[in-house]
Amino acid sequence: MEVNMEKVVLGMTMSLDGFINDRAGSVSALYPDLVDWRETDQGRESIQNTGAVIMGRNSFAMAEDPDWFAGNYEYQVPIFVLTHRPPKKHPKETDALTFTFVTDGIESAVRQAKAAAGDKDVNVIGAAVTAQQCLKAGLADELHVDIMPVFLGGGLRPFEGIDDGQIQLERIEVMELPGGRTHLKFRIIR
Amino acid sequence: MGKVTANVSMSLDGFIAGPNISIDNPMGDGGERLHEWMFPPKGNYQEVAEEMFKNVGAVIVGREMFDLGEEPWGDNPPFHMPVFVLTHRSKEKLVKGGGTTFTFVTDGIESALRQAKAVAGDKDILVAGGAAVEQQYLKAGLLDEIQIHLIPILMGNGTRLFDDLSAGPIELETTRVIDSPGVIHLQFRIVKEP
Repeated sequence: MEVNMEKVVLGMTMSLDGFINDRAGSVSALYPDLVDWRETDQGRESIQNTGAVIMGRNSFAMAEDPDWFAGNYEYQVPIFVLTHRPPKKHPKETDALTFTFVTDGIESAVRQAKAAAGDKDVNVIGAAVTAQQCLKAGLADELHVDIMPVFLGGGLRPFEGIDDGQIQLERIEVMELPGGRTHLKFRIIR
Repeated sequence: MGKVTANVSMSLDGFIAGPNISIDNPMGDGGERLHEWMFPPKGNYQEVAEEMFKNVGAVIVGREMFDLGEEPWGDNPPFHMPVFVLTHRSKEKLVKGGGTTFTFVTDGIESALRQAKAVAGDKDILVAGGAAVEQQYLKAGLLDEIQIHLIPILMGNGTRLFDDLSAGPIELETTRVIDSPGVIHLQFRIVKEP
């Protein structure tokens, strides 16, 4: 049995042609079944293993109301938002879910998130810029990609600018999920 | 009636060939890694070919693929069925040993498909490559099924399988997932507009 070392997990949902949201910036084509995901073994496992979350400004902005996260977001844990401009009003927090706006870069965010996560994993929610920074800086231990059965034709590419050969992926697991999604888990070898 | 199906190897970041494709470099820089799963030591081409050609009655390829393959395929090419070659330069039909014929189609992808369907009967039509040909059939909405062999590598640059927003999004239905060392086989039915 594998010893569960705390890891930095970069997670993303991607179309089959490699885009993580469509050009309009809407991710609706990619998340039709979000409620189902929380009920799956994979969703439950992810929620249980996550001790802290890092997200970029765009992911944070996905919720129309920043106060929505407290009590509603699937990960009720310390959240670290990468941004140059923290919002004027601090979003609602609970005992479990707190917000820290990190303005000094991804390494700082990962350091703080690891400290907050204790012996659980840090989950980096991979909107394109955050994912690219995390991969380029060699900060992620694992890459989890959910492939949605759709060709979008355009949008943001999470792996843009990653040098060919810079990163090697070792397949850990492949799972079929509801809605035709394929969940791929990779170890990142640098 | 048979299905029109394509088989393509793709990197995790959506590339089906590397950059700088040329006659000497048909898969582009680094692109040969996309096909490693099919050949020793990682794979067994016999098995791969059997699976790929199961229930296929006709094949469509691009001219580059034919040009590259003609000599190595020799007098008894591995198709054993009619092959339609998309090209701008016409050439007389070639009849080879073992049941393979090569018909050169100069008037486009729809014509090639029509001719392929005429000889395939109830069997499927396989769009076997290269990258540009597969792209064209996908964009034109002519594929019923697509099988993607997903290679867990990041290529960074090259030919994308699908990059035309005006033709998308294209909905798919996942029909099969097979996890294998070095490659994940994903099979999809292409959902057509009603």
